[in-house]
Amino acid sequence: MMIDDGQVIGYPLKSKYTIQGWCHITMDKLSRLNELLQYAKENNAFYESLYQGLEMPVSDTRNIPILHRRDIRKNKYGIISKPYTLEGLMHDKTNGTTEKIPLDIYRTEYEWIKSNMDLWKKRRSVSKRHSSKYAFYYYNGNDHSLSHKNFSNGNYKAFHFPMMKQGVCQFANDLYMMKKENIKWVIAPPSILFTLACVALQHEIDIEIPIIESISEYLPHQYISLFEKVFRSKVYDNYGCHEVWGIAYSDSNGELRVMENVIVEELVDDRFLNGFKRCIVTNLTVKSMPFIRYELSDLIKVNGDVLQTYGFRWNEYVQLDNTNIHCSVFMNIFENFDAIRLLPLENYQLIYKEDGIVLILMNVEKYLHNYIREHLERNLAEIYRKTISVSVLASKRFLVDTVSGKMRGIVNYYDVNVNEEFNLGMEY
Amino acid sequence: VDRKAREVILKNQIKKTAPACGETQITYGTDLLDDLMLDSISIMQLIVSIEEEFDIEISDENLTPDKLNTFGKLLDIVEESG
Repeated sequence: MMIDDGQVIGYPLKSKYTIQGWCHITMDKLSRLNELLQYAKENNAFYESLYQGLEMPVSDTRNIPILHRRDIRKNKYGIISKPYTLEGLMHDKTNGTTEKIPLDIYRTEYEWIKSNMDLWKKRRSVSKRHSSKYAFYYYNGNDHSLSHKNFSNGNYKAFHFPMMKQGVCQFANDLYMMKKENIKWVIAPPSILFTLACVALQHEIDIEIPIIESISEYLPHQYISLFEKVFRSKVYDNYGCHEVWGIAYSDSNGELRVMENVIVEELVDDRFLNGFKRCIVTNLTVKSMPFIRYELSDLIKVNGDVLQTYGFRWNEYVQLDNTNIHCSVFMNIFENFDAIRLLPLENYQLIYKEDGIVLILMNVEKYLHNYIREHLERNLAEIYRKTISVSVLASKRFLVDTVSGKMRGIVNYYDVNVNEEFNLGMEY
Repeated sequence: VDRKAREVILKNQIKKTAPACGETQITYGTDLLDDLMLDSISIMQLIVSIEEEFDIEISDENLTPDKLNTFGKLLDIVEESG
């Protein structure tokens, strides 16, 4: 096996970015972080090189360099800790949502089980009885296989359904199966849950699912109301990503609370004026391929151990011919709008083509649509000194990017399955 | 139920959960993850079936792979929880 000897592509912090949220870190987490840093320095070629000159123990996490996705790509082998070999580790890949290229992730079986069990413990604390009768939707890329996996033993019933289907009717079969098997808990991204809810209504499938757990995507409040109504559920949000599984989990009041084995920090980006910041996470338990101060593309707010998510990711752009418009531009235009405050993936989503933008509006009164369109066109014209065409569509759902299978605040028109998506609740 | 009986019941539960372990001799030192190749789903299934079978509740602090990794440790946890 080739070892790249911990080649470092660390990024110096740009002066315009400052770190917040570090002061929320408890002494216990700080002490565990120091243990992990020590381990990484001694056992991991990448971190050994990255942390040269880092004074230990660390009392202010802002002194620790930030890990980026590119560092992992360029140090594919050096970031694996020395006691482990690739052959002995379990391999996983991200969906490639963020940079269109999947990221390789390696973990020991033990670490994998530990992170799954930590989440299972959270679920048991919500409802022990229901947590062992669940359906989970997994990402299956372009493999539109119809088969599900079934793990049943006595009172334990688990169904793993593929997320990508050939048509919405296949979701009806899933619902019939869940009903027959008395499934009490469904874990899926909001866009899949939305489809399930629409299908339940269309096919008049009366099914009670006491717990709905949202994963992988921003969870719009409008969707929560729909799931509560259609499935008579309580909705929980599980915030995490492939790299750091289980970052935060909803409590019974609906507040996202940071998990015990994770540290979340905020990185200020001056482009966002609404208090949301870039998200930096540390997984305190994974040693084989440590994620220490790893920057995600999400925007968050942290208050103590309570976390709030946002409908845009900081690296999203509308890409037109000759003009790239950063998501913060829309955020600033719509959140400072005097008539109505609009939020991404709560009230709007942006679909772009070379020649213009389709603004999808949800839960916004029709008489405001033209006013909103004019407001956006006027502001964009002022900023970019040219006319950018905007059209508006009312919708009952947000669209999914077919490349990643995810619902995002900004989506390329050519990555939307227009026929299928527009059939579900789109009004013309 | 004494320890010996618990041991037999527990071995049966493990064999039901992990049929792949076949005729593997399960001893106190048998590693559930490495020797019997239990994954996270099998472990969760096993916990649920143990709680049901012995009518016990395994506490959260015992639900970690390092406390459940060998048959002997699992048996101790079952005894403690009873």
